[in-house]
Amino acid sequence: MSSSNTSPVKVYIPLDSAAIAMGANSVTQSLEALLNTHVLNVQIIRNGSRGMIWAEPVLEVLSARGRIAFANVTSEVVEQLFTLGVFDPALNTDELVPDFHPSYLGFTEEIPWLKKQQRLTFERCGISDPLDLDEYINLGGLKALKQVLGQAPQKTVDAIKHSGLRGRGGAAFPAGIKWQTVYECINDTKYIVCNADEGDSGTFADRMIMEGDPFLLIEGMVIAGCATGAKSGYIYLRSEYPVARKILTQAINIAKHHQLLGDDILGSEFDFNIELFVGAGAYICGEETSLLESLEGRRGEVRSKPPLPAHQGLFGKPTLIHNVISLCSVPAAIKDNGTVYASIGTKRSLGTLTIQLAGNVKRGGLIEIPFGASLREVIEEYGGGSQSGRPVHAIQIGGPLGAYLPESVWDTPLDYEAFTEIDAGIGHGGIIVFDDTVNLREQAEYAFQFCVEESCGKCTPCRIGSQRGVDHFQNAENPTLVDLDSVGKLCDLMESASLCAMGGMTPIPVRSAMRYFPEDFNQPYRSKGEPSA
Amino acid sequence: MADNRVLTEVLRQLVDTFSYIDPGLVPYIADQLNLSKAEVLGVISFYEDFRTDKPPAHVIRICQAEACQAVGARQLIEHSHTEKYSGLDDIEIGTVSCLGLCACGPALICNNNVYGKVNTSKFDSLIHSLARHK
Repeated sequence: MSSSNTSPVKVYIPLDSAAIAMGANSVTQSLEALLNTHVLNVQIIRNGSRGMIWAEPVLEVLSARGRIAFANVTSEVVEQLFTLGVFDPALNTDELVPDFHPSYLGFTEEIPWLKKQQRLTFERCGISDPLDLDEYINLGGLKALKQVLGQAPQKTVDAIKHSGLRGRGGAAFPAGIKWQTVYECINDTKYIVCNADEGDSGTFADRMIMEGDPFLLIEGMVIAGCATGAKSGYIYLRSEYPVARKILTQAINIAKHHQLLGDDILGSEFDFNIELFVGAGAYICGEETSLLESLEGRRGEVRSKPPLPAHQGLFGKPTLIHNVISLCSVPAAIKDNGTVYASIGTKRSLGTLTIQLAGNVKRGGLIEIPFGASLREVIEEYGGGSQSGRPVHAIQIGGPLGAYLPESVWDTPLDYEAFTEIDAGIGHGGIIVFDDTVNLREQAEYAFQFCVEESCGKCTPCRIGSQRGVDHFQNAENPTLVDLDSVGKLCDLMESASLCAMGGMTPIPVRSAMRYFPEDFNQPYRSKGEPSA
Repeated sequence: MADNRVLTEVLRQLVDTFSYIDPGLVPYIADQLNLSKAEVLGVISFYEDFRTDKPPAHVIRICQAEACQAVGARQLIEHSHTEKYSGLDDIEIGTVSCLGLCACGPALICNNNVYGKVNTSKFDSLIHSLARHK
């Protein structure tokens, strides 16, 4: 692409929540103010985030030789870049020495942190305006849908099976089995439900893709509908994501106007509609049956299974319920009947894992790589160690119901089965890094506390058990000693008798903390960094 | 026929429009949707968003979840509990579990605007700016 004197210089500033939280809106306002006072031929494009949350707000400029990026941009940096001629159409990137400005990252495509990744699901995220449908199509969007609309549903279901795609919401259930089950149900009404109630701490992939590439989710849902025979879909979005809500609302409207939703999609005879449903602040609604109850307008209390949602889900009809990333992975997964996707990853963990690296880490963000890399590689090569500069001490993987892991197991490859072997789980791919000031006794207590707050209350082991767990920590006769045997027995009970993963998996962080960090359980509440009394 | 589906839509609209649900409306909603008052109240009480008291002008929710804990959320929440922030008429400070800003914590949300890497001084200046723009 060449930027002649007449075409504007394209400047990209993300509209992603994380970028906004770090100041992207005020950076945009500063640039707009500059444009008002100087004669500058600049077009500002609000793109999704590339996932380099450590560098947000990232500002990119399209030069004659590609996009160049600047990290942690502030209003002052915008002024400096202007003075340096970065927004000048005649900018010659050959003259940009690496240290010409402290924010300069070089060509975006060459940034090692991004270049090392293998992006399939997040292929487009951060490249263009998420609501620009033409750009979506230019960048490969809708190819998969067009193919699916012209083939027998069973062929699409088979492609999902061949791809080896497993549910990315945490349970890692083979998607193909779910699709086949719903497809085989004989019923005039079936539903596709997208679980966008991403409440697990340490996870933000759903939010990022909904804000950065919303048409991908729509395409994934329409494909799922076409393959299983469902004509309507719901996106259950948590209310804590106001930006995603705004973007999805717009994207659904645009899709309706362009025959991507509604009757006769893209000229085929297939009809499909999507409705956006905004949750009301309940973590438990991320559990699929609780989500269905909530979607039906009731308290989000968990249902007992069976019946499985695939047989009797929303309003008692066969329902394919999937997490956002699972649905967004569908177009990539079904390419070439699933063979490409299945060629990536390890044994039974195929394709890519969208890791969300967070917490006390230097370079956190979205990392999409094939399954099989070790935790250590992710923390060291991508994360660059802790943000505080102190030693990394514990890693929690898989959200609030995930295990706390010590250094001795960081070489475990990111593979579903390998993690099961160490009594942990990859979950949704969220990795939270803690430095050595963390107190694991405090974290174990928090796990019970979280369960007290978020339990739906339907089953006793979860509702009462979590409170008993907190009591063990708070009411110990000697506050420095927690009765670990009793906590262990309580964990046994919650694991075996809870109705869903909330009560059933709360013991995972608790047990892992007790098992791997025993030194934290026989001392008073005090951060390790503080001097003792 | 009783319609629960409409119930949450009604409650959502009320919260989006008035930022709370006036408890005086419960009998009316129940009557209109052919539900019992208990059913309506049951749904309202289950969800965090469906509050029945009128919130002040500014509502702040600090993320208390693990990823933010790893970078000082506990300290930030403790700071927000200090005396200088008690009894602010126009500002309500509470917690939330995860805003999806886990790689740039501690995070908070204030009147639907999100903030990342909030340390105590950034928090103080936010409160200060809110107090100025009453």
